[in-house]
Amino acid sequence: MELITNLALGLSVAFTPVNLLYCFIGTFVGTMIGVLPGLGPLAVITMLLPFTFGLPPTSALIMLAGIYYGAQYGGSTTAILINIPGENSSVVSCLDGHSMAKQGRAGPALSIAAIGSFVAGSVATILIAVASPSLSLAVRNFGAAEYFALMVLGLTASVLLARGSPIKSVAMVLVGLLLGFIGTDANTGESRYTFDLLGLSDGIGFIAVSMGLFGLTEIILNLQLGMNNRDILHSRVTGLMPTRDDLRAAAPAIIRGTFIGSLLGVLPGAGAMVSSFAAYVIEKKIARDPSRFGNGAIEGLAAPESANNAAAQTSFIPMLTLGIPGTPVMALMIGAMMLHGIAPGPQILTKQPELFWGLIASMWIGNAMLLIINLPMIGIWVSLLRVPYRSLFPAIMIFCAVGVYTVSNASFDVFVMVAFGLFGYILYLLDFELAPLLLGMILGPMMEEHFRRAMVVARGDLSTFVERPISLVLLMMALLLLVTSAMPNFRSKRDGLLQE
Amino acid sequence: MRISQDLASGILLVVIGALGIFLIKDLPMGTMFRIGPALMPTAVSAIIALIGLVMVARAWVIASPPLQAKAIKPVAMVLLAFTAFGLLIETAGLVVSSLVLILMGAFAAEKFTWKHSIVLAVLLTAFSVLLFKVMLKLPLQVWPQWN
Repeated sequence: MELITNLALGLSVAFTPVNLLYCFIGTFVGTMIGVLPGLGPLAVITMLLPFTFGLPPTSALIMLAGIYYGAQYGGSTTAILINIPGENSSVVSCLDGHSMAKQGRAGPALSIAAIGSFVAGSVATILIAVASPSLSLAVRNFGAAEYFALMVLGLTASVLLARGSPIKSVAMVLVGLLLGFIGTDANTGESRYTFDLLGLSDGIGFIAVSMGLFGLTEIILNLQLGMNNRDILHSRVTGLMPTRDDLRAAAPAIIRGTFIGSLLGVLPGAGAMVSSFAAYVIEKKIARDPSRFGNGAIEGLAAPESANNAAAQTSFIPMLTLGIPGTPVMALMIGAMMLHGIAPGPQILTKQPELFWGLIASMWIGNAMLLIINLPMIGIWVSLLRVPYRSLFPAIMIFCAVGVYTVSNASFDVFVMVAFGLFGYILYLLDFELAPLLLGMILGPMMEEHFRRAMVVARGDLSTFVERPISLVLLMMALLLLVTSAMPNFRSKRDGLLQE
Repeated sequence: MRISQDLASGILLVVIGALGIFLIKDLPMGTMFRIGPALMPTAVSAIIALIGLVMVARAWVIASPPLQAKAIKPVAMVLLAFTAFGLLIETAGLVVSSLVLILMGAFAAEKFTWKHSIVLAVLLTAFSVLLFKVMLKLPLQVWPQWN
């Protein structure tokens, strides 16, 4: 019964005209960036964050969340129509989705992708509503030591389960932590790594850093690759309705995909991409005739599309209940909360129920909006596919420049962004992953604070971390992950799973 | 000798770690009970440097792909365009700095034509004034300030 009152509260928040508007803007922008080439949710959420400062925190988060799950919808459109995944979570949708389009069944493919995403989104929303309260209850009695251990585990998992060389990713987390130390130390008032610059005394702006790392680096790389040649599908999309047989074949796949996605989405680091791969592999394994896959099997589209959308949504669970981001986008959400003066963590549920439930209810509304945005309006998105990158990237540049400048009306932030654009580019050349750096930077100050508090409580005795059972278990899990990832066959197994 | 990716990565990490330790050395470490401002940064920097050393050592044993030369123009132009924007925005205002940003940025693209770039710059500048100043009412200075 509590669930219903909670959801009712959420719906009452999400259904206010203002929040409906921002939910719509978010999902609309999300679909757009999913369709547009060379523009990911990470860069766009950073770009739009400064413009949410004037909004109430709930509206801001509703919009930013909409961008994220909206991008999963839009990404599948390009995958189906032009065989280019708009987002990396829709890579597998190319296989059967584009084959369907080549057979003249682009319409049904788009519908199935959208319907699957909607079902998955709705189920995931309910799952978040059910699972979150118990999770945040479980950690309510955590002390500083347990919290520190939980953050270590969260960081380790999100880094090691994601792409890239484990040793390099760990190094990136640490560099991120180091960046998080910049500024005035909260406990002693001493300036650390500020070079006597006023702009650094409050810490280095995470918007400037992530816009440099993700926005600028992305622009540079796209220009180097020469993003000019895209095969545009000239045929028009007609007949959106899937046949009865399509629906019958897709329905069980949608359910399986939703289940896999919801489960994997909660794990840090796994997220939307891994779950769409897993869903595809499972469909192929259980199919009576696996040779159909890759030649327009509707299950091969329905399952991964449902999975990535479910995962995009359940990845909010650890962020909302524990205050621990499992993916870089969730790290940005935490950063956004802090900028709006909300401390992330389990207390959000009790102290700001209207924000928590409003956000969750908005996801369901957003999914319904996405269905409308994507299906009847498909023509708009198809024409958007024709925008050449050389006309697009100057617009992105304007948003980056003005956005980062207006954070505190200081040119200094623009220069920080430029510096990190260069740094991000160098890191890319050296094959480092950039996402762990952002995770470390956002969690760094919180981790240090918990560590210090734990030490004060334990009177400087480091063994407190192993004497407290919960903290011991969490740290052991992190260690276990670290050791397995150092094994030579871990990477090949994990990457093999991704490639299959 | 060609520099491999792992060697360069290792060196970069050693440099970052060493800088991290060097730049914080004047602040107190404190004790474990009352942790000082330098303790965590020093510890983190030390691990970064250590990982860097491991990578340098490993680069000797295991081959990794060599560093590749890439087109420098997009990198330089994009970064310079944003730098110019940062230098101009406070005095010259949004219109001038947007025009400069877009023109310099467009120059970074593979197919640069003056006509396309100027049309794009004018349109996007008008759009940015409309969106950021008129609609979002951000505290931005639009025109150059003479004083």
